[in-house]
Amino acid sequence: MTITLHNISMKFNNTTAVNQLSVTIPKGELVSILGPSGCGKSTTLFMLAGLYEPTGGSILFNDKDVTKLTPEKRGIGMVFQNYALYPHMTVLQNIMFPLKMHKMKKAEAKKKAIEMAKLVEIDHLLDRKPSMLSGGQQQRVAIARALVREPEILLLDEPLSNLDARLRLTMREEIRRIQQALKITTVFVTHDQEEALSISDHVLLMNQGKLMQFDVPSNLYDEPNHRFVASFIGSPSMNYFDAEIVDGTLKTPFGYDLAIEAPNQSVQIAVRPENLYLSTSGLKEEVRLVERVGKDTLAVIGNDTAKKRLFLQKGETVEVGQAVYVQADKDTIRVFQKTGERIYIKE
Amino acid sequence: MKTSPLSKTFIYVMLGIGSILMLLPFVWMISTSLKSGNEVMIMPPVWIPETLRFDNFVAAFEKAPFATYFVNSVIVMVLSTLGEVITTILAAYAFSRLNFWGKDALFALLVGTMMVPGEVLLVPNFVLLSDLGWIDRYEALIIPWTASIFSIFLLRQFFLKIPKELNYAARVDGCTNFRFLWSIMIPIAKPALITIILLKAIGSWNAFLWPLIVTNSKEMRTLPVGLTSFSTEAGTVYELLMAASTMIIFPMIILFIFLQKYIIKGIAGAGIKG
Ligand SMILES: Nc1ncnc2c1ncn2[C@@H]1O[C@H](COP(=O)(O)OP(=O)(O)OP(=O)(O)O)[C@@H](O)[C@H]1O
Ligand SMILES: [Mg+2]
Repeated sequence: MTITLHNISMKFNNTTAVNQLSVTIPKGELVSILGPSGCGKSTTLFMLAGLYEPTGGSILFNDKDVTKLTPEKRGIGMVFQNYALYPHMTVLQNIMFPLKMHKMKKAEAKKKAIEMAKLVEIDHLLDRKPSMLSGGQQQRVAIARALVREPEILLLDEPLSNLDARLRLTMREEIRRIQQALKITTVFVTHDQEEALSISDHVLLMNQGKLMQFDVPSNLYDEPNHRFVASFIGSPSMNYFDAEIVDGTLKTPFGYDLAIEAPNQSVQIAVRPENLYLSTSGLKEEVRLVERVGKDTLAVIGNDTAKKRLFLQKGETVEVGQAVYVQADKDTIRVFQKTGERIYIKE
Repeated sequence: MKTSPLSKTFIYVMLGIGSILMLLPFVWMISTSLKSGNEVMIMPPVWIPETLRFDNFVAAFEKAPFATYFVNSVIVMVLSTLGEVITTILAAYAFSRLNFWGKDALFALLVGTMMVPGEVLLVPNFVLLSDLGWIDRYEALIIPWTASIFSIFLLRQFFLKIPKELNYAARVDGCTNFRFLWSIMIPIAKPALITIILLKAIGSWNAFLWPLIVTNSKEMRTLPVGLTSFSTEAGTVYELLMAASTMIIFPMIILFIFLQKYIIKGIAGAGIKG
């Protein structure tokens, strides 16, 4: 099922949680909604579910306008951050509940529920109450309950945030496995960029209720279309350098100029830490700190107001206080206007 | 937390003394119900009567139409409890889960009425009921007691503790408001509901002043009112009064034994695991 959001907005009293969001989520894909806390991720998902009615815009499933449809008529399954399992029912009863609400015969419902429990590998826990399950098991039950009516869309609101780091990793692969097995269009809310970038076909990055970029994970990282995206994605974060555009030429701090089609202005050049390297020429900076990050060595350079980070190559060593030259190749630099918009460099 | 054997012993001794003190009046009641008329008043008091006079119970029963009183008490208790449970559930759901204009103001107003002492309302309520022509009828005994702000407040607080996501999940699963209330909220709120039912049932069973005021005829009286038949201008026949009282508290004790598990849960405010 293709999902199309057309200029949807959601206002709560005086806060605009979602602002004129338009996007098309392709059929059968797993799409993450990513963004900082309070940016409107859950609100967007709740509108997809029909739990909130948008204050503006429309939602289409394939070509059908579902904006005013109630949740149970939308053919969706949903998993909540705190799982929202019914505490007084057993695992089996929880999974059967949606079927019961749709008047399926008991024997048939039971068969289906067990089938689903097998898919998420909890069929040995059917008689337990949710309070007697671990977080990961509860999560699986919630997924089974969401899938048991064979919805065409699966919506997940931060499903992994209550799990410990290791289980998170397993469960996200599990969600990916189930999603691919069923080829179900899935929207997955998270504030963890690593999670989003690793399992999604597309990522929808939001900030303050607005869509910032909708793209495949690698593009989000390599081709951010806004400074917010560049800063939000990646760790350690993006390095910024001030630069000027004068008469169609970008004067980089690295000692070379680039032809660019843009009016005269001050801009910022962004370079990822792994694309910044030590050289014999380029920008002169002082080394502030050297630290090991896993198998790599990270050097922090620059002054207090503008620190930059770069990874040292194998065999390179620098001392704190030493002056070094740093360099970035021209195909790795990204240029942003002061307002944050990207300026593309023509080849 | 581990408690040392010594402090454990101390706790048990204190609890033991407490329960003996609580039980004393009941023991006194039962003991008096088996005494002869002369034994009741003698000093120092006698705990165990010389002869156990079980015929006090028979005499008490013959003195007044207790069977009628009993039936009345049961009818009033069952119907007013049922009524209160229904109104409480619906109101608590509305105040905790639905959105409507003036919700908070209305709730504040309701809670505010709890500050008005019940005695103040006795006369106006009586006048209202007599205007309705309900005096000396079941309506007067039951209908004014089919709603309780306190219960609504209690259940609303309990409902509010139930995560909102359960509501959303149920809507996605295809529940209507009513279905959600019935299949999810009520089962989860069972301990709170049982507490409400018990408090109500006991209150109704023991109610004295109101039934006394709104009933005139013997046919409409309830058990506590019936007990007044043992007090006459010539004095009170204590052994019969106590025999009747013993019989009256019996159903309550049975209720307690059956619902003990829930009472403790409800009062301890057992939450739900998230
Ligand atoms: N029911 C509501 N009433 C009023 N404001 C709301 C409501 N729900 C959300 N908001 C506001 O809308 C904005 C977006 O909220 P939302 O829950 O969608 O954020 P989120 O991206 O899911 O954040 P998080 O990562 O913290 O879950 C926030 O500023 C929030 O305060
Ligand atoms: Mg959220």
